[in-house]
Amino acid sequence: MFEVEIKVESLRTVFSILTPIVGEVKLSADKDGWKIRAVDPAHVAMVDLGLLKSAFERYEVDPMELGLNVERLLEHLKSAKGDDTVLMKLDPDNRLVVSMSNLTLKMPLVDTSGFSDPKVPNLQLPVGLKLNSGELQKGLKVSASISDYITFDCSQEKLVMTSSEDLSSMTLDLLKGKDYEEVSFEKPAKSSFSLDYFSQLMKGVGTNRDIVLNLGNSYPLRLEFDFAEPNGHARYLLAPRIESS
Amino acid sequence: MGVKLGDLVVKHPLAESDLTDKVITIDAYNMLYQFLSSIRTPEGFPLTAPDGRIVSHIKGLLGRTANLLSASIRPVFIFDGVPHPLKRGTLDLRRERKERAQTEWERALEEGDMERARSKARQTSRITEEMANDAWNLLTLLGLPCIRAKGEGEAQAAHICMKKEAYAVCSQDFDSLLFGAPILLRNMATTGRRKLPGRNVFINVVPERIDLGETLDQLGLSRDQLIDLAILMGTDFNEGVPGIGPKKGLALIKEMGSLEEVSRIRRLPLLEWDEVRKLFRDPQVYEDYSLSFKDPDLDAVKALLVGELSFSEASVEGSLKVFERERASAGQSSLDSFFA
Repeated sequence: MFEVEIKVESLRTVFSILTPIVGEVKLSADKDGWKIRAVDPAHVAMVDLGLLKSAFERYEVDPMELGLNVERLLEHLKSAKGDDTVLMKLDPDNRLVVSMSNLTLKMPLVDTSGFSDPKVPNLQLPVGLKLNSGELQKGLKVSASISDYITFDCSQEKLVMTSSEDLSSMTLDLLKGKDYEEVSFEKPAKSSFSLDYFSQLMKGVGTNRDIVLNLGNSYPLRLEFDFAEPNGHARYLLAPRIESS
Repeated sequence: MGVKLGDLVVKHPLAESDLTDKVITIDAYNMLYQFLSSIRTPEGFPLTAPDGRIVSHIKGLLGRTANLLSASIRPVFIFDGVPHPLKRGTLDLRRERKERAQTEWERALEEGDMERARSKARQTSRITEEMANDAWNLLTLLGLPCIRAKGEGEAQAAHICMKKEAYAVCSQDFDSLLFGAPILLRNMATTGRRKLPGRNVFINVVPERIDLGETLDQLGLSRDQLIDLAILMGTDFNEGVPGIGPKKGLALIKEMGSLEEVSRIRRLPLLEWDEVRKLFRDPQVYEDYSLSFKDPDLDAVKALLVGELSFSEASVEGSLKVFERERASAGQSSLDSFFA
């Protein structure tokens, strides 16, 4: 049994969080809700997402795994109004049926036999900051015109985002207490990340969202946020660029 | 060329994936020779630009480095410096052989014997200073480290590996083992089918790895003894003792222990032992070199290949794409490396 109803907006958010990383996912559904975990083909970025049953208007699910082409689904959902309700179910041929108002789509499930089950590394990250996604997006956007990577340097008082190449450079200072709230601070942290990847992830985060950013030293970052509050939680991991000698 | 240790060393087949993320030092001249001798027209002529400049080695180098980089292997190129005076004999001999091959090639062409022509042509391969410079320029523009050795390229390459700054030396010759390279990689320039010299027979060539420690254990020799054995058999720096090949030589060294001891029972016309030994044991190398990989300057690469050397744009596009991609992903780590 797999039959759920959910607001278009919530489902669209789920898929937009996934598509920066992969086009197809394995959805694990059980009586409590959905879990999706995926890593990009180069193993540079990872997403780990959970959506509680309470996010759904109706939720009738036996535990199962479904292969979804989220890229395609997201494309279809674009045309729908946000507060419309979507019905998702499996038909007798095990095809996915998606209906919203007067539109019905049927598509085959994706074969997940070749999908790996990525493990989430247990990262000890010395710095945790709570801030608005817009602050990061501002820095990333300007950096993209300058270089192909961005460096985060966090001290006790501030987080400095820098990007430079040849004679151009960008510096964006975020101050503790003003631009961000400190969640944890063990020691200063500094890491660099590919702007390509990071900007993609920020598309998944969306604008004006509260996020918790965890940083280490030449170490992956972790970026967490809630969506479809309070029922959805997502976590991104992004591997750093390591300066070659 | 080089010392004939092929039958004595322990070889392992090597997969490209074994070298992922590893730095390897490449005996540049050795690789260029291989390209120059194999990349030729059916009549045996090397590829040239319209102005006559030879580009066979450049074509080979471009394709090969693109392959290495897309396999995440990081090549460092070591160019020979000033040859040791003792190598003069070998170099003279090589020159004579090439001159003879040149005459025979021309004769074969006149007689219309294309197979023979091509085979003779391969033997005439000679790297001029201009050709080496073109190769050096290309590699530098691609952002790959190039190092000019003080003496033998293989000695410098071995030295870098012994300092654990690189994983292996890549050469067809075995000399780098005598110079102390912990690991030697062979057949890295051309893989797949290769023609056997002088015969119209093709064999399948696969890359191989030779581990110096394992080979010495297997032979029951120390590195110094391996050097002594090589000297008995003959190296690029000395003529060997007539009648002593790998088998006899190995037996002699194992029984007697060293050249000094061998010389007590056999008259050895080896005047320059000490010099050759010293050259292998303690070669002339530079300590001051840079192994830093830089971003490729693809516009300049294109200007060199298409503008100066008249490669067609289409023929270099594939390789350039690889370098472009490499540049974009340079320095990017993978999450996998953070799983404790």
